Amino acid sequence: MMLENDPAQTFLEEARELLAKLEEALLELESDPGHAPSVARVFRNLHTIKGSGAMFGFTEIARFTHDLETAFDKARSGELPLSPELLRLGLAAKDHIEALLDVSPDGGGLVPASDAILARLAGAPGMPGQPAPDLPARARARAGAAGKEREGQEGGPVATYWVRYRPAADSFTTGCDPLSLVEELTGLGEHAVVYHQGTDEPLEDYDPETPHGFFDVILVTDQGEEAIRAVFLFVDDGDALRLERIGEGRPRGGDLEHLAGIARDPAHDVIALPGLLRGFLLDKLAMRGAGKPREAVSHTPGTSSIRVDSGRLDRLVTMVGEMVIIQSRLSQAVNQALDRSSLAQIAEDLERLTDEMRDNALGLRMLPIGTVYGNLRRLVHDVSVSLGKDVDFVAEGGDTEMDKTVIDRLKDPLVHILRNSLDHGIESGEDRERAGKPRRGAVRLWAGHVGGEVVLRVCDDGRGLDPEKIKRSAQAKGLLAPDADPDRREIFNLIFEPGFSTAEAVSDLSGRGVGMDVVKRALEALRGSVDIDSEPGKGTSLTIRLPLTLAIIDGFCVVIGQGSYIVPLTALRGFQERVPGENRKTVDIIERMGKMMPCVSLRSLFGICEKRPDFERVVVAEVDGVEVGLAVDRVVGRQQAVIKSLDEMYKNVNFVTGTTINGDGSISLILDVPRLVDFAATHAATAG
Amino acid sequence: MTDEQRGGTQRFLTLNLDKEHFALDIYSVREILDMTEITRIPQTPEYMRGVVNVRGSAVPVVDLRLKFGMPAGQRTLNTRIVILEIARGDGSAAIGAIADAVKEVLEIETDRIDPPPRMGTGVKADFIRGIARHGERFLLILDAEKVFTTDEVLALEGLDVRGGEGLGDAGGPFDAAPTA
Amino acid sequence: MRIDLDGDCTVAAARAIKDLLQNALDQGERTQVSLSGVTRADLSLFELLRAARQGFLNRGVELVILSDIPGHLAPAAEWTGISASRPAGGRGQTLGNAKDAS
Repeated sequence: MMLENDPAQTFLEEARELLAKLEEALLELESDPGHAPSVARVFRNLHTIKGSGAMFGFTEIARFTHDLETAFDKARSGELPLSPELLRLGLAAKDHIEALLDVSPDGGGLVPASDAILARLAGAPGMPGQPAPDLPARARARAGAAGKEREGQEGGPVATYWVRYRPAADSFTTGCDPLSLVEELTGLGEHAVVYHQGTDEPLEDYDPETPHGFFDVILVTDQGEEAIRAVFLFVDDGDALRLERIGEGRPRGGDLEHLAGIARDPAHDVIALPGLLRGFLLDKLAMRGAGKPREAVSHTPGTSSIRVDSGRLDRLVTMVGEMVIIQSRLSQAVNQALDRSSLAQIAEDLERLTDEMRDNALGLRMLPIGTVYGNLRRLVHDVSVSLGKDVDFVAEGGDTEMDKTVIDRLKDPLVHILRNSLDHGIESGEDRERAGKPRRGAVRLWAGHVGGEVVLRVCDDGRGLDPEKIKRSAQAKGLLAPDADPDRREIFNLIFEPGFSTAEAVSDLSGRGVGMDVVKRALEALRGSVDIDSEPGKGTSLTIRLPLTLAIIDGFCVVIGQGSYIVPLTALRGFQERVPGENRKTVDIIERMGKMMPCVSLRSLFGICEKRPDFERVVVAEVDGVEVGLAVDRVVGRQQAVIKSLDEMYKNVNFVTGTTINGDGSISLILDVPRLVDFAATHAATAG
Repeated sequence: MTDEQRGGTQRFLTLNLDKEHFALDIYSVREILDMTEITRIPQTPEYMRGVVNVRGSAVPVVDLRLKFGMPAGQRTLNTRIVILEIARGDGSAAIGAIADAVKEVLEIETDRIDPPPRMGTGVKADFIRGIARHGERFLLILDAEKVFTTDEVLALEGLDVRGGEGLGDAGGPFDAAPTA
Repeated sequence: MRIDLDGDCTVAAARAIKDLLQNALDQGERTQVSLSGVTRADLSLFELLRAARQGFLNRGVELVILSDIPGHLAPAAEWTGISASRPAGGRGQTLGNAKDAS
């Protein structure tokens, strides 16, 4: 079964990816303007955005991108200098295209904005105001471009494509003979060409100076779509070319003629044709019994979709196959009333398979963190320009995989951290030189897997943190007792306290009061942690630790009355007991290892009325470096819980992360310990 | 929908709450469950009874009696949870409603449904989409979207305790806690 | 009559070639076109030949495009159906059929 994707949706997704790549290449050029492969990448991305934009009816994107593409093509061939102005325009254009994706395909109210950018582009040095067709040069460039593309693409998987080429009305006068393009196209591989006559005008009225017909080319090639598009690079104004991959692999002899026959039939319109061609090849494939799995990925329009590694999907499909087998064994076992040991064997197999499937299914949600590096690079660029600082940004470990949700929610904290580094960490060029450092600052982002966790590290070689200054500032703000003697780490971690800001001058970018405490909260909401270390004068490094996935939580199951709750392991420090007194307050003080520790009675906090046990167990959790006890009836044991989110009706109950369904079908609530403690503190304050 | 335009009939699921008869558009009803164990979520209004496990999802359950200000009911063999599909944002959400009993599926001619009376039903008029006579009795037709709107839930709760200066406040109960 | 096209037969010459063909058609004579001398051509030539063939057909006159098509034009001639197939002789058949039909 093949599910139809919504092509427009697919285009939007692809376009966003292309834009991210485009931005990345532009920023690379910014730091290394002579980097030819980056120019080529900018050009290619623009080219593809334009082409597919046109194909899916995003006419304004196609129109807008066209001139931009031309400019970068000139830059590629050296005709146009790659000026900072051009790069700036490129970045502005990227943002603009992104905006165009969200409005109606004809550009809606953004058309004037397109024109404004295009006008600036036309004014860029070396750009002619009008596209001036220098015919032989263009033709040469085209041949060269196509040749280059081909070299780069050699040896890809063989596929069959349908190309419909409808020469533009001015094709003859612009010197791009459609025939030579078709010839070039057929040079890419085995092919069949079908020419469709355009008009039936009587000879007297026939205009011999404009093209009339159009071509269908069935092409078998290993050069990929890019190479095909490259052939039409200079003639494709959006309407000229349609390109569809209609089959994988090399069709048998005779198939090409069949495909050409289908294409030739005037009854088959352009909408239906690709499907018919594809259908023909699939039928052939099925007849030949080549057991190649068909594409099975489908996106539901309107929902967020995710790209999945096909290997993972194949494994999942294999496992589903296994599951079907186990299911039939189970049915059989029920019918035959088999003995316990046979049933036990089936149960064991099912358990193993379920575990595997769970791991694999969770893996489907994993994305490389590198997907946000482009945005971050752009941010660093923009921020350092606005601060007038010269900064080298290196992002490594982009292939580190993380849960999609984690990545989405990690973006903001990372942005904040990077801004802080650029604003407060990296000194001005003069200060750096005075301190004997290179004028250009360095910010490094690293991601990787360390011991079952994802670790992200942001380091800068800036001025670092001054422990004495932080200490004084914290004492002045009442965040630290005047006589306290915290160690270095404790001092540094003070910057995560709400209301703490080290910046002497509040800058435009950060330090507006919302500081690192927001970052810390956000990371804790992802069940992660953040740690900071710094050496004055040398730099600062921030380490973020995150769980691999948000979908499963490791914790202890506790029971109060009839209800069961999960306390996440990350917060857990130990257990002890207490005797519940008659008039216990919701928050009380108990002794823990010779010290006093606040203890929250969850029973009273949650308003649970059932009979109190003789002894209460106290779960000791650490929140913001402080130990807090949570009194419960009993501790059941460790449990890995698959998190089910709570309906938004319960949005206000922020101390419950979610729920989990237990083996017996009952539901446990997963507690967010820091929020729970916050809540208890407020509750106790208002109650007493 | 076309039926409605033609003045045709609509189908409703009827249910009882206290002594009143209510009706829900059959299209919003996903399934009807026997009463089961409900996991209470702390610090929520009483009418929000908690969540139930519906095939692996935690579905919130609302006690309609309490929601409508009627006296709390006893659980009987007839007590049911009606699982409804409520439009929300771009998608939909499943929400359970506790009813004393679920009666039948009725067809009611659209032109026999009258607008809700301003008063006298004992239920907030906003929740009622219309009223229809069926035999000897009146049926209050519920507007499921309005009954289960989350805005109203959030507004009612007034639970936002985090707005205050509880944490980090100098007088807070945890400030006495020594660090380890 | 016979029309021998030669040299550059790209779009620049299209109007002139059209006039030649139109003239021939006005004569109402069976006409042969030879492309053997064509050094350059683009799609405009092939489309024009197609249009001409249709025009002749409509009048019940035969237009034969001779099989002496130079090699460099052969693929284009084949794609656009100016030569029905590569081996010589195919075209005559096509036209013959067309004439019968008229």
